[in-house]
Amino acid sequence: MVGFYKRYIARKQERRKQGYKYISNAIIKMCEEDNISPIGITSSIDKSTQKYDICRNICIEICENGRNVVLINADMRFNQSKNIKSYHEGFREISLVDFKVSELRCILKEEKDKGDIIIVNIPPVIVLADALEYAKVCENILLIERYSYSKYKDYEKTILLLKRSEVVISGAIACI
Amino acid sequence: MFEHFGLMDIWSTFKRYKWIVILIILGVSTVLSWKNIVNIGKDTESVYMINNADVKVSSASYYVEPLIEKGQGINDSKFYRLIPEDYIAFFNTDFFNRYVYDRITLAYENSYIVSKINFGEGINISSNKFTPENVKEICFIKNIKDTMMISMLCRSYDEKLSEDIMKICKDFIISEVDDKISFANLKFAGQTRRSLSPAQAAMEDWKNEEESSNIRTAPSKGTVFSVMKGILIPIIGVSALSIIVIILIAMFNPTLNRESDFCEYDIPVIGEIDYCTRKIGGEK
Repeated sequence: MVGFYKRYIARKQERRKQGYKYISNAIIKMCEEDNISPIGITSSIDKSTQKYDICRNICIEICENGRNVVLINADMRFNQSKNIKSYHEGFREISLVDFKVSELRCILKEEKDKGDIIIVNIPPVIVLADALEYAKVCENILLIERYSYSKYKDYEKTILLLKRSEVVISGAIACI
Repeated sequence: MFEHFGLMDIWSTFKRYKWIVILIILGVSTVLSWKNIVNIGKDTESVYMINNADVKVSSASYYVEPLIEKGQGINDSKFYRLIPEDYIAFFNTDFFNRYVYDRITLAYENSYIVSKINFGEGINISSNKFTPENVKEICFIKNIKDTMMISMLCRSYDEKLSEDIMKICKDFIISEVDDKISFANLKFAGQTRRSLSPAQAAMEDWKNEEESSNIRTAPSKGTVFSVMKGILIPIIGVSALSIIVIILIAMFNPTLNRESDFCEYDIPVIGEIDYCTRKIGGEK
């Protein structure tokens, strides 16, 4: 029974790793071939997505593929970065202090010159008004949605808001 | 409403609320099952409380002798076989019930009679409610099949009470019945007294054979089947209700449950990952 559980956990971890690998490869392709940067990651759900953890894991996976990556945390709801230590070289994390769009623009200007892949963690667009401004600054947006939790109404609202603001949505990441 | 409604959606909603559903099913069914089992226990207790003592039975038998007129042959045997039924019919009248009720209540208190008689399946009747109708539970008369014999039986938990009731029944036959039936005579065959244990009493077929469709068996309140029924019915009921609520939630609050739900706005799914939990320390 214990062996069965261990095998189940191992399979789950393997599957998760494969998922992250696939996503990170897609992001690398977007950045290098299509020259898209920065990429904003947002969601339609207020909570229960672990969006920040997913962003970090994607960045770690990109780092393991030999690329440098910067994660800019623009989500002021949770102040997570203080307790996180990064063990990966080539992965930097920047948190906004004043959470203003001008601050984000400044940081992006500096980071674009370095040639790293830039990922911006944006709060949900339908929850915070500023999130739409952050999304406009990013060239492309990825949505993180969770099966059985993301309501269809909220998802539609998010897409409508982003499209009206002429923000390009590249794709979605589904959490099972 | 039905654009994003399917089995997958119902299953997804169930997975989201599975712990709540399981807790509700367990909690409510535990409470209801406990109540049912306690009620069954009480009923069984009340049945066995009354049936603990030995049943004292007083019985008497009579032979019905048909009076054959001169010239009549034995070919009318069909008619003679019906004569005992006429005697039994007298005992099924309200007049007989009243006759016994009036005489027995003169000799004994109502409360005493009620306490010494089992009115069937653990029913407790208060002494105020002892009526002539209840005499049917005390006295039984039946015709032994294919014979001219009538068997009378009175039962209670008190020997003297049973005998007194039997005496009243015999007086009834002599004073009220025998005179009225002119084509037969009743001949007393014998009387006996018995003491039966509760189990033996429960297995006896007291009533007339033609009416014995509901044979009295031992009280069966506390069987395994009734207990299982008391547990399974609440579980099934609460589960069904939960499923209905989940279906309604899935219908009126649709969520994204599959890749094809994203395609409506031409948004490709670039990857699927397991929902991760927070890890401290930079680990995945």
